[in-house]
Amino acid sequence: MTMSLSVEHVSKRYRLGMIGTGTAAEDIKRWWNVKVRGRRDEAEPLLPAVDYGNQEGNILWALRDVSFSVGEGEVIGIIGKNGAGKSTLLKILSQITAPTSGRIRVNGRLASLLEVGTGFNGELSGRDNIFLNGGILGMTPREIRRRFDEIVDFAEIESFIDTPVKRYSSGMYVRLAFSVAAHLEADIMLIDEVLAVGDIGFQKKCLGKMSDASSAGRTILFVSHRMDHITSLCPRSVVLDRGRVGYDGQTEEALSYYYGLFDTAKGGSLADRLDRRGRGRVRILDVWIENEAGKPIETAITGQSLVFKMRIRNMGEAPVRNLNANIAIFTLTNMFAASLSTIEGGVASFSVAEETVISLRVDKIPLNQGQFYLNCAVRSAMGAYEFDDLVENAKTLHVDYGDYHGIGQSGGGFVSIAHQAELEDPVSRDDETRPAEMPV
Amino acid sequence: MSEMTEQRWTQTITPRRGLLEFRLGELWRYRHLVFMFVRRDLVAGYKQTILGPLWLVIPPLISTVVFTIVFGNIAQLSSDGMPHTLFYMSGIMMWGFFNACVVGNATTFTTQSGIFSKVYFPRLIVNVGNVISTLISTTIQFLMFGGFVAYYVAQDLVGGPSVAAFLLPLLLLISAGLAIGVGVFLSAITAKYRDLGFLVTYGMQLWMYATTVIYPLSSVPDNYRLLALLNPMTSIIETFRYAFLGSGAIPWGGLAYAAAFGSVSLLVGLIVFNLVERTAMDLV
Repeated sequence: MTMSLSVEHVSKRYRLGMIGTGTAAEDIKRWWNVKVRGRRDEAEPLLPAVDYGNQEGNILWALRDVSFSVGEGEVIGIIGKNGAGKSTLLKILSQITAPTSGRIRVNGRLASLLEVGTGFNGELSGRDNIFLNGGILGMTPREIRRRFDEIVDFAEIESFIDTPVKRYSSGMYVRLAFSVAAHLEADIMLIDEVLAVGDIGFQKKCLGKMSDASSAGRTILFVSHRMDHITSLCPRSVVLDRGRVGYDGQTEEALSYYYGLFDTAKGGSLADRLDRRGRGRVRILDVWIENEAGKPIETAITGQSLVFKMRIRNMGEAPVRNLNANIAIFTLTNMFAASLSTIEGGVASFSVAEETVISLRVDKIPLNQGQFYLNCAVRSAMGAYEFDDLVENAKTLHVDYGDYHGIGQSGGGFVSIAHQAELEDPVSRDDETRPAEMPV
Repeated sequence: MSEMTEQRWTQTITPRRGLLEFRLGELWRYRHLVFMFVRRDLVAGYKQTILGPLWLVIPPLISTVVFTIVFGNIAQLSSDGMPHTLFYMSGIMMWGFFNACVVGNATTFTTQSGIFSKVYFPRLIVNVGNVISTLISTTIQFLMFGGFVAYYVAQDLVGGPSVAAFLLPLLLLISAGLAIGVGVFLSAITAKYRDLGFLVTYGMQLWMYATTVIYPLSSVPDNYRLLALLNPMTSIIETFRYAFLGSGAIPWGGLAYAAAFGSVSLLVGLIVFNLVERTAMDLV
């Protein structure tokens, strides 16, 4: 197969705290204080202080020895947790910044869509912006003219084409911006979650446009947090893990590798995780789920009684008061499905002297079959609701088919909702006649 | 691998680029974008203004009036025997072109970071577009200036344009080259240090006083003359005045010096820009 893109041993290094404060005067002052007077360096590091496991001293390897290649017409997904290096990779591929080492070879015209509507000017009309934005994305005026009507059609803005875009509704603006991008004529396209725009109808249209592009033989690299989009568009995926290629292969396996990254069982205990936020007065040591009998479980059944438990330790001396604990349940496609909290569960606030266990009891869990993950947090129940400790993806919960409604089968969607059906005319109820009509 | 032999690559992205690797071919491929940026600057800049493009001529007109009153009538500085209005207006216009090019180019990384951090295209496109926009504004100012010259010629107060007026494109070219060189050099620095952006405006003001904008070269004392001529903009403005007003003389040597100075500064500016361009977005 002919290659479209070959990424060879690419690394990108950032120096933490060495980027400077942004003004010459501050930098000189800092140099004077640190180097001449020997004071401690007080400059804030420019990059996030969270260590995702790819730092060495003040050096951060956003990418480390990343190699993979993409064949012509292939559509691949790039996935990974926050800080895994996805954005850096896209920036290097689209030449916004240069790699520290390694080489990338490209075969054909490459266009990157890290954002839609780059360079849009509010004062200019929709027409002018199509030409300006298309030009910035690398289209020639002739190409834009040829596809102009299609672009306007797709964006559904015919009657506003000569209106300044600052008068557009945000929906129209986004549609126009995406439409220009969608009509790019490039051999290789780098796309960064730009689909997460517009209303649901337009999103579907965009996804359709993307699959058109891939069936037209274009090579596409697609970065997204929406695993459902990745699954529907990309047969192959590359999983980045702390700047390295963790997995490269079929999307199905890539996803299970990706979800595996969240499993604390593999990655050490929850108490030791560094990617947490908050003031840190208390720390969540452990989160687990028990069944009715008090036995810890990994897989639940829809409709089962569950107790979500959280062990919290006071990291200081004095008792910490006025706390509130909560668990946010997310689907694997990153949708916020439900939340459990001490407040909603009837406890306005609590204190931690040394160590305590919080239980959140659910009589009949309405989550449908699938995988969910839990973000756990403890925060102040008073005033600013500031986080004391927040751990994302603290636990994965598998849910198996269950009989929530007591009818012997499970419903669709993320959750089951208890409900009743009513008929206008009770006589039309078919329950009794059903067995007779069933084929023997 | 046998299949690798037939594999074709159109582009290679590497950590570093050669010092003199300016990729002019790529710049040429994106030439249309220059005109789109120019159009944006010209169209968007004057939408929703009452006076529209009149704003291009009002500031130099006001400056001319102020200079005429302050430097001409109150301070009674020499204008080489030329009418004050024409003398100051010519200096203000030529300097204005140079100044706008330098200032516009000096802050491209910070003002364009929204675009630069999302899309790649040869960054120099913005610089070239900036110079062309400025050139168009300056042309409109020239029309105004032409009107004033015609009036004064009709009144028989000045000699009017001579053959040397054909040097105008050369003067603009040298100024633009110098301005791009200085501007992109400064933009490489302002990408890291924002506060130097303010310093640029101030520094340009000082440079203006060191240039023969409000005084003629002939009134510069002999011991400062060499210093004044070291400034390439002096020869350019002197030539311009000679060409359109008939004052002074063409400083041929100075003009050659300005051309050489402009070329070197353009080259140095481009090299520095080339070094910084590819990682500037990590700094902004």
